Amino acid sequence: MIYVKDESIVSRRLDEEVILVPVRNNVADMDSIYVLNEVGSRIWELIDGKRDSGEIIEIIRDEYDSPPDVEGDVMGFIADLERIGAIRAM
Amino acid sequence: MKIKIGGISLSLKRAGNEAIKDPCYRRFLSTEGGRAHITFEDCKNLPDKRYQGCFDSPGLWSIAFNDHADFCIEVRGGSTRPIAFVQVSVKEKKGCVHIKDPSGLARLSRYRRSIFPCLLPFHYPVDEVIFINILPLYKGILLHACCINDNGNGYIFSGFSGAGKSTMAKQWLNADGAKVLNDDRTIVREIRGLFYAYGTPWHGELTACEPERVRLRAVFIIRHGSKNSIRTLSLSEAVSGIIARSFSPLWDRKGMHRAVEIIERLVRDIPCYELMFRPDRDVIEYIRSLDI
Repeated sequence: MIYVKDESIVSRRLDEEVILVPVRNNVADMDSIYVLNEVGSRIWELIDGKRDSGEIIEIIRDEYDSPPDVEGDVMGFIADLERIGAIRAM
Repeated sequence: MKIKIGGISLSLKRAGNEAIKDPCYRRFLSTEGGRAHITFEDCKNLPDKRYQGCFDSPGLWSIAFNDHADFCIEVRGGSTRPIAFVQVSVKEKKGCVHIKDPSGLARLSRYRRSIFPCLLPFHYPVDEVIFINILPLYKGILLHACCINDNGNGYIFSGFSGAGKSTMAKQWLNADGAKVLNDDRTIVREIRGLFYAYGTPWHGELTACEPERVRLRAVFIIRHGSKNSIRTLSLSEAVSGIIARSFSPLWDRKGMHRAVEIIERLVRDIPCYELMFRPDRDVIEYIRSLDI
C-alpha cells in the first residue's frame, strides 16, 4: 500500500523529532498535537506518495539495527497516522 | 479612529460619533499618523459567494476564505441568524463591516469584555479573530498567557484556563519595578530578530491591559504546585506546549505553518520552562533568582 500525507496536517521537523498539527474546521476537532519520535519521524519522512509500506519497512529495518518486529511496528504506526487523518492510502 | 495592538494598527472610517466604550480598549487608541495595517469601512453589501467556510465556532462565529486569501468572519452571537459580516483583505490592507442585524449587536454584549454598544470590528470575537489571522504575517502569535515586565525583563506565564495565570499576575501586582501587562492574553512578536511581549486589551479577571511591550526573557508554561520548581522543556515539548496554549489560525494551513515557524524560532531563542508554583509572592523571588 502507498500512502500520501494529508493536506490537513501541518508538519515541522524539530531536530530529531517531527511535530504534527492538524488543521481543523470545528472546535470539536481541537484535541491533539502529535510529536513523533526519531523512528516515527523517519517513517513520516519516508511516506511520500511513492514508496509502498514494504519499502518503508525495509528501509527502517536497515537503518535501525533490525528491531524484533519491524513490520508490525511500522504498520501499527502507519495505521495510527491513518487513524488521526495525517495520511491516506492512495 | 485607530487602535494599535501588538504594534499592529487597525483603523475604522465611520461617520458619526461612535466611540469605543471599553476603558481597557481605549488605552490602545492610537493617534499615530500614517496608514493602518488594515483600514475598515462600512459596506452595504453582503460578502460574495466565493468565500468557502473553513472554521465554525458553533453559534458564535465562523470564518471563510476566498481564493485570494481574503477572509470573512460571520458573527452570530449565540443565534442561527447572522448579526454581521466582517471582511478583510490583508493584501489590500482593507476591511469592511456589514451589519446585517443592528438589533442583534446587543446579543454580543453578553460575552466577556463587552461594553455595549459594541463597535465592530473592535469587539469580541471579531477583533481577536482578525488578530489571530494576521499576526503570523507579522511574525507574531497570540498566547493564552499573562505577561510581566519585571524591570525591563519580559516574562510570560502561559497556561490553559485554571492553570494560574491570574493567580500568577496577582503576585506581581505590587512587586517593586514590576508591571502586569496583561493577565490573560499576550502577543509575542519577533522584530528584527528580537522577541517582544505585548500587553493586549483582552484581559482576564484582573483587568490588566497595558499598551506596552517588553523584551522577552523567558517563557514559563505554568501549573499549580506545592512548591516552586522549574524544568527546562525540550524543543518539542516547548513548541507543542506553546502551540497548544496559543490562539493560532488552526483553520488555515499557511497561517499555521507560519505560526509553527515563529514558535520554533521563539523556543530556540528564548528559554522555555515548565513552572510549578505556589500561589504566594515567594514565586517572584524564585523567578528573579533563576539564572536565565
